[in-house]
Amino acid sequence: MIDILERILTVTNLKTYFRTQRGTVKAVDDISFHLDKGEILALVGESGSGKSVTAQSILGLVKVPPAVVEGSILFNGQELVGLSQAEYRKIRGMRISMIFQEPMSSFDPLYTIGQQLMEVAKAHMPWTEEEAKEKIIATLKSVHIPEPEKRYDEYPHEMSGGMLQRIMIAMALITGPEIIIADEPTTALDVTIQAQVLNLMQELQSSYNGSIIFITHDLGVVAEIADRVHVMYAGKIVEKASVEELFNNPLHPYTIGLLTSRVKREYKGLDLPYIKGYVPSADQFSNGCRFSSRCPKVRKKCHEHLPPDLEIAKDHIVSCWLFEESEDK
Amino acid sequence: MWAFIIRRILIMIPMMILASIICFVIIELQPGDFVSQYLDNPRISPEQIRLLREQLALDKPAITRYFMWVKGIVTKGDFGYSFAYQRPVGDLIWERMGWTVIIALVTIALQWVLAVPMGIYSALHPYSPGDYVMTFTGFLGISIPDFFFALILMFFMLKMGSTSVGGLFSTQFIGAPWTWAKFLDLLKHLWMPLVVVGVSGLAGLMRVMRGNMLDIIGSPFITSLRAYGLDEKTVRRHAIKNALNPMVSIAGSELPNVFSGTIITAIVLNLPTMGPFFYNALLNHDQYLVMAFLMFIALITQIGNLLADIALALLDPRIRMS
Amino acid sequence: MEGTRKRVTESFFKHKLGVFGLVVLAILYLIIIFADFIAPYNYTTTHRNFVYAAPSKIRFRDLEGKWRGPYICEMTKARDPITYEVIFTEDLNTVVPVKFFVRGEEYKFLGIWTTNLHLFGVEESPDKAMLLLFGADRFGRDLFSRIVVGGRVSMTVGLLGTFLSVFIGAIIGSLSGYYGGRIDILIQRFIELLRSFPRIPLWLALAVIVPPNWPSTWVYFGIVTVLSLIGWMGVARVMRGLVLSLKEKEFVLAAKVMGVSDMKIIRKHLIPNTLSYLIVVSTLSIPGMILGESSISFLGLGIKEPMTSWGLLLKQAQSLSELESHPWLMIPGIFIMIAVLSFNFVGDALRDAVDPYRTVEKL
Repeated sequence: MIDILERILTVTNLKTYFRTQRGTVKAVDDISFHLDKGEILALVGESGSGKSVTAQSILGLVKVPPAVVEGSILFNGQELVGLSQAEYRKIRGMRISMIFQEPMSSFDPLYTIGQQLMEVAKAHMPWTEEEAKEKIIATLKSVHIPEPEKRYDEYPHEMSGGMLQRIMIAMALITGPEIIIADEPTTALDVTIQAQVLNLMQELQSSYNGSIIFITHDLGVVAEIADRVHVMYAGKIVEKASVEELFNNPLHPYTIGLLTSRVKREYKGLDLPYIKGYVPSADQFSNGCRFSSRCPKVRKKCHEHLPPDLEIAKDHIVSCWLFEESEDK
Repeated sequence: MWAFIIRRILIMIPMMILASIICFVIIELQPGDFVSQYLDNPRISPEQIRLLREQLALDKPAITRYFMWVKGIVTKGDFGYSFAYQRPVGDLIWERMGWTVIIALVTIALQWVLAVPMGIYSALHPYSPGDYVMTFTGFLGISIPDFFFALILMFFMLKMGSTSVGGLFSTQFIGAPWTWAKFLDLLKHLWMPLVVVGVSGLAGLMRVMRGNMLDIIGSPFITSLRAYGLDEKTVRRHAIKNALNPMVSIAGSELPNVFSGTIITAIVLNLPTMGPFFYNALLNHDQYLVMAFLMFIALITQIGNLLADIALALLDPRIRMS
Repeated sequence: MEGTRKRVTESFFKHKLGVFGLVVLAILYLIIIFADFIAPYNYTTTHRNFVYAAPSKIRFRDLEGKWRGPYICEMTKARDPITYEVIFTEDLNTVVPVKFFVRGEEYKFLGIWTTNLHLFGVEESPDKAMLLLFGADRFGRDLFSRIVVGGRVSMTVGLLGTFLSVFIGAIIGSLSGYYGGRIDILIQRFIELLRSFPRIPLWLALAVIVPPNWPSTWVYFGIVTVLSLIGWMGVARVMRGLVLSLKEKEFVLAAKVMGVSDMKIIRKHLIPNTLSYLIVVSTLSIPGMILGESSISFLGLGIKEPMTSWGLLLKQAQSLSELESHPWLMIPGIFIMIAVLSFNFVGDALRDAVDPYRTVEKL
């Protein structure tokens, strides 16, 4: 039992809006959440739900004009919103690292991976060249790269997707960051490789005691790796719970829809269940619940008013009018 | 890598043979031959014409003449005889080659030195006034016919009182020994062909560089680099290196374009390069000269492409290893 | 398909330069269609009194300062007191008004009706006064009229040449890409061989093949053929790339499995899908054709008199002495530039609208 939970990231009322020719795109629309030391938080949602933009907003990778980022992101007491790029660079890759979806296109094809790792290391750490190389080899070993000394001088295109993804994890780890944001790191990989990478991440997380924000649309992955889950839809968080709670007792109709639309053996021979309709275009949100156009349990109120966040069980929060009366006070 | 180079060089041989056949066919298709221009001359009798033809071996069938020509090249290095200039073709080309190559190389160097930074600036500051100006100038550059541009420049030089417009040297320096003054005089004349030929190529190169940079800047690994906290200068370095790569292969294929681009300008500006030469040879049906020139250009093109491919392989590890 | 057309048109019209180019081209093509009507004079008639005449000065107020509307002055012969040369000067006392819808030399409108109505001009014998907007050439022929008529050649040669080269290139390219194997390799090597010669020397050499004693209309078509002989290779390469990538797509495999013949697949599936890219490639090659024809004609190897083109008109400006004293001879070059620039703008905008991901370039 951990008595003292260190809260390392607190996001409050985060809004990331993009101004386009067709209007304002509210990619992330007033979300709040926190991350504690040593836990793995999963952000789940379809494409366009705003999960990647959330990650980019945390790291200040969103180009501020033309976009607008409002709200508060507290990282170990430091406010990140409004930070200058120069300040952000001290945090990026050093205290918060990110790994990306397509390992094959996330490296510069013209440099060896050793050179690229060295570049990141030298940018943040006060090591000499020899020290850096040793540390790099050690990190490569820790992500189970065979013959790391040889790999050091190889180019990205010489390696498989799985290996590159592990190298990207190494790149993220080398500076010993406190948070790793993983943006769909296994989506582009084969299922077997996926399992390897996930195992690796769990192993590393327990040995480094770091925190991970894991972004995905794959509930299977969430079940395997996460401690807590936040479900995002159309720029808002609609449900927050621990992994067990979410899978055993899903509350929001969208969450239920996601869970039932996974292909299971029981469905053999039957029509596969799916959620009707499409995610509304991010510049055309109504005043009501974003999911109202597709919700099987929709009521009149849902179209007109945004539902509040209601805590139904311990640490299980859902944003839906269905639970108005049953809020656990 | 070496195997690749050797293979390419070996392929060049049959290519050149085929090229020689094509050259020969084109010339043969041209109506008339060198002697035809004398047909209308009343002072030359038909008998003399027939003799002249026999002398120049123009009466033999095409295939025979072709093999005679090839034999000459392969066994004696003799590229034929220029009827108009009454000298071996090899000598004529050799004399002109120097200036042709110099002008071509200097033009390419200038184009690159200017186009790459302009393209980078344009890409990093898209839609800025500077970008618009450069893009518009680029469009102008590729739209203006080079001979027209040469005419305009010449006109302005004349209007401004210049006495020696065209050519590479003022009259007093032709044939004179090299001095600093002669060199300055050369520069005063050289800028015109460089500007005329360079501008259109510059425009194209700049736009390609701009396009490459924009593509790269939007690609995932640039975002990754930023996410690792690397500073903008480093990110830019990565972007430029990646954008520059495909340009290198363009440079190689630019070589023949620059050569041919100088032809018309050289005719207008009266430069001592192979261009005006080739033109006169065409008009005179001086067939061996024409063929030798075409073959030379074809060879330069092949070499240029080869150099470009080698450079690309050196710079891009993905190609080097395949 | 309809949605695509709408999207493409919308995207095209957002490109200000593209729209500008389109407008300019429309104006140019209108001018050349109505060339005979717009030109004040017949483009071949010589006028001894106006050899190398400078562009007419159009005046509005006469010597007393009275407003007279646009007019020009008659020319009188005089002798230069120093050189005793015969020179022509303006007689400032005369007023020859410039009018619209004037009766002038006869011509056949669109080749059908004979008429003598011109858009504008002066009603005066060309011995005494000529409205020379752009001056006159070596034979006293009105340069403006010659430019307007010459535009017919310059603006159509590009279109015809491109059409021909796209036609040839598309067929060869799709055969090459579709059948692959030996045919493909053979065609590719052949194209590579031809491309190892740079364009201009090849154009010049091929242009000489057109016999000089052919009538000028035949020469016109000969030049069109020569231009397209070089152009088809680029199109073939693009087409081959497109076909190669389409060949592996599911709908083609499906058609094959269902037993559709190869020719039908090419005709009904591959060509329609590549059509928009072909249009972009065509529009982008027209400038090269126009410049090619201009260059060839400028060097005397192209269009022959009595036909004229802008490149041929520039030929007269070639000697330095003519250039210095009669700079208006360079005006045809400006027209070439405007036409090529407009085609470049349109082509660029079209490419951004149809192929924003530059798949064609990457092939």
